[in-house]
Amino acid sequence: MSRQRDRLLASVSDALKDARERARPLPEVVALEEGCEDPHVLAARFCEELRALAGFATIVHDAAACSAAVSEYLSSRAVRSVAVQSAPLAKRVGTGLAGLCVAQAVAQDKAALERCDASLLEASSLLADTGAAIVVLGNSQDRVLPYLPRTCVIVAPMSALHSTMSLASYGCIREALDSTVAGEALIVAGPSRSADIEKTLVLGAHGPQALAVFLIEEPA
Amino acid sequence: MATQIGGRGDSSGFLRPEAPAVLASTLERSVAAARAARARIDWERLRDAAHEIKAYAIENLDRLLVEFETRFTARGGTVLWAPTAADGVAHLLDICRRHGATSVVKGKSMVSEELAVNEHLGAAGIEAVETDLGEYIVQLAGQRPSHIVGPALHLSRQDVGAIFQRTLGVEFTDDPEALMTHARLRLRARYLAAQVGMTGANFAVAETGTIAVIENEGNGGLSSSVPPVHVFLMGIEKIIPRLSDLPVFLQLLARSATGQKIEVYTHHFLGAEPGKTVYCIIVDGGRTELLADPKSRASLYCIRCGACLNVCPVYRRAGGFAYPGAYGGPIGAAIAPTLSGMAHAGQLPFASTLCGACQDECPVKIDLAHQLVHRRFLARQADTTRGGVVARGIGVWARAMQDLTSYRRSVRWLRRAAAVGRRIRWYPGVLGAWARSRALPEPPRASFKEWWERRT
Repeated sequence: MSRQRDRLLASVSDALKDARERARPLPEVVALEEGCEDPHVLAARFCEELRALAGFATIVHDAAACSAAVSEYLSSRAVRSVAVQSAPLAKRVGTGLAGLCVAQAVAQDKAALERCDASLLEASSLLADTGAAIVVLGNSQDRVLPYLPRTCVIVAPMSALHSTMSLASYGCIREALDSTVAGEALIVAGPSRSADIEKTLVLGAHGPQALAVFLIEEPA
Repeated sequence: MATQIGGRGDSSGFLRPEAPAVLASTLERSVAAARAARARIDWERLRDAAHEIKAYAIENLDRLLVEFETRFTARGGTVLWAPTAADGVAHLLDICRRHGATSVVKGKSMVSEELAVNEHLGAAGIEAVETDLGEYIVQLAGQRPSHIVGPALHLSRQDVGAIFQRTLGVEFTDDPEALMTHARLRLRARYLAAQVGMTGANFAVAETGTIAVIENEGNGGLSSSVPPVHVFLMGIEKIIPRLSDLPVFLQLLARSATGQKIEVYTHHFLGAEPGKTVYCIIVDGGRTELLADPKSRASLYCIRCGACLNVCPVYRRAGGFAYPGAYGGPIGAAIAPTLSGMAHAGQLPFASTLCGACQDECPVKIDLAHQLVHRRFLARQADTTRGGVVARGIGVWARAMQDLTSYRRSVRWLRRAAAVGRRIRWYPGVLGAWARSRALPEPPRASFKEWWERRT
């Protein structure tokens, strides 16, 4: 095993002898700049972009209003069971869901999660220019939530909005790495899709057919 | 009625007369979508930045690979090194045996195509199931992918319907949504049953030891999260130095590959969570040969977006099956002679118009036309060194061109040979594959000079 490692690395080093002399400097970080900072403008842009991706996005005032709006959205999709991510805002919104069977994902096995109709996740960052949400998933049950149920709901405070995929928007990934969170940081933009047959777009390929993001103005 | 498609590696799937036109039109739509998606971003700035980052990463690969290994291991993963393709397969088989795997679900991975992972696992009694819809379709059809991003681009919806009817026993439909549903329902059970999930890696970040995988369907997410064991299979060139470099590539890759601003899923794998075992197999498989040649080095900057295929006039006409090995189009022609061997793919660089459309489109600014010219030079050099068929052919031609009498005699002989050749319907070996779908042009009855003399 270690012989293979040494052999491969030696081949790489040998191949790069000429490059050593040049010692190319590390390029400067290309900062994708944040544009408009007004959260309402960013929120409007985010909603527009997500709708263009066949997702749904709306703004609610607080966590209680969010629970009510999510309940209504899920009822309209005939959802009966919801699995909730181990994240504070998701848990709070999940607790307020009415008329639904709500369970913490971490207490379920993967086969049970596959039978759930919907998942409820919390985004750490939102990217307005693409309608994308960054979700940090730290345990094995949470990790399957964005894919197994047919409907995926994401909640996030409006303060999580960034205009673009800037370094600031990546702060949550850095934070997760620094605090040694394992698992996955997922950027998700709309419901799953495929265009593998004659470039015809089909929603709900292997993951959810519907994805909704609820932006909370005052989550606390 | 759907066309009967040939076996794995067989080019007969491309024999339908309308197929090249269908492919060209599909690719044209891909190019249009990619160009539209570049609006409102500074495309050229990002391309320059990506080129510089890749150049740095490739020229510091030995150091960055070790840095990645250290961080990835600290996050609970295990790095396995594969100097050859066979080593990569051996590692994968070893992992499957160690974890008692009888079934592996696979996200999209070009390296796994390169290593013929499905065949090797199958031979060891381990079922490998492709989960990307396009890959699943070509696996059911017994074919190989014809495009880096769209593996089943060569198939019509009727073809896919017939393949599903034949292999899955479902009622024929050519509705893409119904076909997707058939695939989804069958694959759901596979994810839950598989002991090992395998994906490729789009970018491996040295600074953090994390890996980014980009996809649209959610199959990569399921393959990596549902089974208890996850194996990344990646080439050495996938390393980038810093996490802060990643957004540059994410902006470029989605737009170039699928014409989206961002793909639906961008997974950043942070490390093995409790209950999960994670491996990363890092494959050389001939890449250090490309690395050792300063003129070929830039071909390792490739991020496998398929943009060069979409604009290539040769790929548009010939399709992916014209290229042996996993990689088609201009980038395939540039790297396959090294990765697959000169005997297998040495002629590919000559199948190019050198129009340069590919390098204009490449999001990391690989000088593909120059790469191809350089590969031609290397191929000719290798052929001359071993007294190969091309060198001998040129020797014969040089003798024929020595004087007018020899030249005229040779041309007359060639015309007669072509007339006879047109009547022959079967040729042995590679000539057979060529001749099945092509006829020699009718040779003129006389040379231009003879015709002119008669006319005057």
